[in-house]
Amino acid sequence: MSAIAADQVAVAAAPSRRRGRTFAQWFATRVISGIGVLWAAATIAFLLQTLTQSGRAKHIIDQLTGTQANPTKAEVAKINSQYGFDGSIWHQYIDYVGNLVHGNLGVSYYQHQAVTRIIGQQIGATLVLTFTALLLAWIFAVVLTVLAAGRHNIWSAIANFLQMLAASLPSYWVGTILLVVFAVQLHIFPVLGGNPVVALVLPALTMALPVSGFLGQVMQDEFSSALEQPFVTTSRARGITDFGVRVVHVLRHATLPGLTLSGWAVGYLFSNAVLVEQVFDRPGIGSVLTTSASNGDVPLVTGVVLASAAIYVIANLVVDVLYGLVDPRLRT
Amino acid sequence: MSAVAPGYDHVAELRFGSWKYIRAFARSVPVGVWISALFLLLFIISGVAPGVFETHGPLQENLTATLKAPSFSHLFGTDQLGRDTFSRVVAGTGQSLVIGFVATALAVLAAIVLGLIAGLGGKWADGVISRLLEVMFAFPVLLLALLVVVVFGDSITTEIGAVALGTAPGYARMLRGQLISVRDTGYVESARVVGHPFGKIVWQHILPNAIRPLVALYTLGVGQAVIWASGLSFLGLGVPPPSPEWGALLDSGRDYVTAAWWLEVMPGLAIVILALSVTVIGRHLQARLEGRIRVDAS
Repeated sequence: MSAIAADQVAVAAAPSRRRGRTFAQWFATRVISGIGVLWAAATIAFLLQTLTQSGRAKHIIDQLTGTQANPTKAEVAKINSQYGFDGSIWHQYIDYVGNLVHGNLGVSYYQHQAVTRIIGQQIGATLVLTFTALLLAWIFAVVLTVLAAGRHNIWSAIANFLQMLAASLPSYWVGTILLVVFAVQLHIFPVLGGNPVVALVLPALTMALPVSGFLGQVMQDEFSSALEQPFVTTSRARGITDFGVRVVHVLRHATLPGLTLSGWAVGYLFSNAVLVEQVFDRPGIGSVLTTSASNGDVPLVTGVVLASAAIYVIANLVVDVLYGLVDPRLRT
Repeated sequence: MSAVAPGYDHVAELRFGSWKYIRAFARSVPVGVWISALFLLLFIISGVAPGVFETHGPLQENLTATLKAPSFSHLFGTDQLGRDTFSRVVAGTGQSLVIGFVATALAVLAAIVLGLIAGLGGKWADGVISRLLEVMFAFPVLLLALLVVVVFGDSITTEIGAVALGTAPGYARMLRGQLISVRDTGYVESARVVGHPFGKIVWQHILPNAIRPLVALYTLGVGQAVIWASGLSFLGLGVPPPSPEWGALLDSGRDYVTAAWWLEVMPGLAIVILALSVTVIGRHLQARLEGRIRVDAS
């Protein structure tokens, strides 16, 4: 993944410049292209859904009656018209997109509730976990970068190795190790439940570790090359301490690739949250997704996937705005 | 490689395949890479002939020795049915390797096709493919893979397809960039000026140069594919239970994590060691292909 992550930065590192447009114009274009991405994502999700067409009615009937019996034609037809499976593909597609525009993602086959409602109830916990992890990852990466980047000593080498290791560990395994060591063996954290803030520590740490590895790698590269710039010598000559130059001037450069990567990291963290929530038995999108996926509850799974795409799009929009704030060169 | 520049006489002395060449080659490979290669070899042997390492039958239950901690008779301990975890990990290697190698191969293949169309097919093709990739990037790998498994049912084939679909956009975007930069180089331009046909230029100049980095990337990708695939099985959506696929082992060990940590830690360790080994080898290949490490006689 680290190679892929590096690519993410390399290719995504061209944030859209405003090119003489006002902020409002630029922002509007970005929002429209984000909506375009979501519309296309919804279309792909719809096409995947229609592939299950033939089995859908039987699936729902099996679930309603609790049997595996072959339903009669009449029963199938009733379900088909109830869920709107009997129209043409075009008809269904227009219905689907129309519903989406109104914030309606359909009805769960199993829980018989609106998908948006189920997701709305559970997404809060997952988002808290995702953003706590992102914050932790930034803290780790910034501290390590400021202290170790560009210094050719043993600490820098160790930091580098740790980051490569962190970036290649599967989160569900790291989570298990942390759970076994800190909760089961050392009893520092509760295995289950307890104070919600305390319960957040281990899962957030689990998710933060690999992301801090990616962030640290790209930030250190940028940090080291910024250290070679003439402005560093100038600042030192003006009497600022080495540490001061690092924090005040050089760090700003290093945050740019970190920001770019964060847009991607939000999506990565969100999907890893699904795994980590299972490890720590936390409520959230993870448990919704696993149960609905093993039940074949297609609308709910599709809803979650679309929600995550939306989060990705919004995160990248925010990153683009922040980028302009951090890098004044882009504001021309 | 065979061209002999004046400053590189010592390189030319080494005939490819000669003893001296092999010795020099062996010296140019760092210890870490040798260790990784050894691990990979062990994994491949376990995958092809699990009997070599299995100490017990992977499905053989022993209700008098359930949930035993690791010991000499059970290297990785036993599970709730008294099955030997080490033998199960060994037995599951084949599936994990097949998923990792095949899924990455499919993803890279799809990426080559998409990359070629985008990189060489002109402005319109590039626009369409780039937008498509942008949309695919909005789906997190794991969730897209999960949707595919839900739609097509869980089996090893869907798992491979799902992981391939999830990881292909990353390779495609990288390859597109690579193809475009090679397309605009001086040697391609001169080949065009000299009048070589388009097909020949693509086949002889552009493809070999653009694809070279993919060799290293493929190796790096295998580790990731194994991690994603076992993540799916960990959620109970991969290969169905009695199978000892690594992610499935982790999934079934989850209920016993407070009583028997080895059921979670050991199969996970196998995943981590495999992923790290291929990553280290991949990075070394990358360094070699970029010319940062070379075989020489000194």
